[in-house]
Amino acid sequence: MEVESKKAMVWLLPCMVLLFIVDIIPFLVAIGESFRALSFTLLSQRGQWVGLDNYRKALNDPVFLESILTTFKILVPALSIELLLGLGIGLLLAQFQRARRFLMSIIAIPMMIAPVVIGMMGVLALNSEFGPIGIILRNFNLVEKAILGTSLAWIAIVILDIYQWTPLAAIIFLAGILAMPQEPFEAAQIDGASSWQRFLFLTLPMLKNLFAVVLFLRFIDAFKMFDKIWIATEGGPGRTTQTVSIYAFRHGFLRWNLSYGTTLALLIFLVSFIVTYLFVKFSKV
Amino acid sequence: MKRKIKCLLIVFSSLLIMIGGYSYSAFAWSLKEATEPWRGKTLRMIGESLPPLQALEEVKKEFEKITGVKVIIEMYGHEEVVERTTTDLVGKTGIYDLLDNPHRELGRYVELGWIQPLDKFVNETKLRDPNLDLEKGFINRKWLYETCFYKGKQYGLPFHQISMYLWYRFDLLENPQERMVFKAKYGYELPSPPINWKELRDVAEFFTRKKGETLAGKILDHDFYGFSITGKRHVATWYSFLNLLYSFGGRVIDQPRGDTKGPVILDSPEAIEALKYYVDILKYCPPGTLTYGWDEEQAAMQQGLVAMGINWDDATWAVCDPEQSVVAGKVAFSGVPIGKEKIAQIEGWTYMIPSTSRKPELAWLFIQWVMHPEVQIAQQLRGGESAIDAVYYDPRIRKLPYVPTAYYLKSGKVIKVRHVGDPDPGGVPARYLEAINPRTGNTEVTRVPKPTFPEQEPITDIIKLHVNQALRGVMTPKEAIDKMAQEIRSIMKQ
Repeated sequence: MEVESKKAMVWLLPCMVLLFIVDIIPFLVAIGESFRALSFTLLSQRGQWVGLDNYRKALNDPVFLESILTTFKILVPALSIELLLGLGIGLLLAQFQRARRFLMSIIAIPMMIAPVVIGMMGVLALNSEFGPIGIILRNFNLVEKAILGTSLAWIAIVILDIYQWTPLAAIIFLAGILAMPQEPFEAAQIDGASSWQRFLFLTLPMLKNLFAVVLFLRFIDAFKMFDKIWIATEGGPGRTTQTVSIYAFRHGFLRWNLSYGTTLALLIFLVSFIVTYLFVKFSKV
Repeated sequence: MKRKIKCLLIVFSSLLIMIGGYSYSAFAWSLKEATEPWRGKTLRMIGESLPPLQALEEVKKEFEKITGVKVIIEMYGHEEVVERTTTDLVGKTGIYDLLDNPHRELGRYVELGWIQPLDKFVNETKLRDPNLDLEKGFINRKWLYETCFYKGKQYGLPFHQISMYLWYRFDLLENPQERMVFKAKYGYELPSPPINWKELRDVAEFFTRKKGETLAGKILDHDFYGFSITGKRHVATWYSFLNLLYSFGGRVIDQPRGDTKGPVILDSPEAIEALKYYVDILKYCPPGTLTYGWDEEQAAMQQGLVAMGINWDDATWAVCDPEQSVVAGKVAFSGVPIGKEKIAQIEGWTYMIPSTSRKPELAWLFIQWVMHPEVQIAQQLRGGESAIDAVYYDPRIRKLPYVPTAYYLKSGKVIKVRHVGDPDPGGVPARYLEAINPRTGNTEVTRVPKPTFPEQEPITDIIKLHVNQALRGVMTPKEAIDKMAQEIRSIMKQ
């Protein structure tokens, strides 16, 4: 067994070295950077040691705290709807025997599109002068102006995220549904359980772990959501769609305050890490 | 007498030797020989995906043919170019041998030692094309200084020199029926083009119409708008605001040149008036204006949805191209309307050689080649916006409808004048040409520099956020201006 494990280590070593170089070293450098003041626009900040100043500044930065709220404002409805819709589509697809594979590949298309393209599609579709959806919304007096230019822009971002990621939830749920043992369902049917009762007391409990997996995967991803928003609104109008990632990017790559931008990115990582830890600890998956 | 003749002979002989020597060196220098060490190699550059660079993508083939060097041009959106460039420069990865970046980045790149001064290339005989005069020949020295020099030293050559100006549908503004109705409603002749902000507001209001109404004798099958401007939280909105600010007589910072720092003077009554006007004019713009960057504004004009807009002269090529625009041949060009000043904002993208360039000499040889008038003409005919004066003496360039006004704003020289009723869109509108600049008391255009020192980037970000907030109605113009000034002072430590 020990020999086997040594062999495995030899095979894994190149990967671990690569991971160390491209992942761990930059991460450690980033941590170091967060204790310094380095800016490419404010030339008095040449990388001098400032201790925890950047962290103090971030935790007292009302715009950063606002960006956390904005992140959750987008994330909570997006994830909730993706879970529900994904479950519904998964259940529906499970009914099809022959067309299932074909339908799955069609439904999965948005997931395969780069988030940047999804953002572009959103901008074009929602444009109030040229975009089909934008024109419909305006013709029905649902919005007076282009939605991405109003305080409702976050809803458009939610819809774009649902469009892109519901297929992932659907595919995971479908896999789970197809893998369910049939015996409990047959027994319940013999006992006279209605289809609603079978769904409520058999299907849902059996999919409980998958719910947790989907939620976990999507939370980690959605918390860092960037590309779509950047392309669609750059965090605007005003700060309406300025999520934590957009805010960190803005400091790091528009204002070129590298240390502060890095500190914000590390705080985002910290939140994701805590969620992962809690998930692993309590989910029993 | 003999002595005089002898002296003359000596002077004459010296002249002959000098001229001969010059001719010899001019004859001896060749691009092919100078680039020989890099034959078969690649030169990689980065720039903005717009007609001028797309034009260079075509034109560079000649360079590749002569030298055997492959030129790869990476094109991205405005802000992405700066991000990618900075990432390359910070990481010292040397991906790019040559940069084409907005000139406002000059200070940051110079102060951080990221780009090289050009004197070492200019003074190197082997690399210097004697047939090219880099001292003279530019359309405007001040413009060249602002876009290519930093604190007295040259760090670049102009990729182009551009400014924003008014695009207007002269077919509508000069329609006899529309003119009659306008006069009856406003009590004065429909101005074509509007040359001040009051006229612009009136014309914008007049042409804003609903689907089903009549426009120049035709029933509209879509809503039509008098004006378009950018409003997104994007660098485009910063530029748009500067047009208004400068014209209304305000400035962000009191500075004689872009590379000098002065006190922040943004919180002035002029700035508040400018932003108030910006907010107010939105009611005559398409409903999507707050999502508009340049591309969307340009698309609105190309699709025939608006009567006027203020946009870049280097984007105009696509508006005048019948394959891309339903209004080609119907759009004429004037300066930004006049408030307390008749202005043009100085802007341009600049060729810069990074300190990390792996082939700096080759990069220099390439930009030196590009600066030749014949290359510039080829580029301009495909969508460029040249900084070389000789280009504008070519009859093919003079015929381009958007050229005369763009050239006038930068050089002060007039290729052609356009009068109301001219069927040809080309020419500086006579009204604008003759309009007095209240700041100077004559008809000269004031060319306003913008900050190029390193702190300009966060300043730009602050302005675009708060202008966008004011446009949304979340802040009043005064609140937005005060907030901007306060944050900018904090950055400038004032």
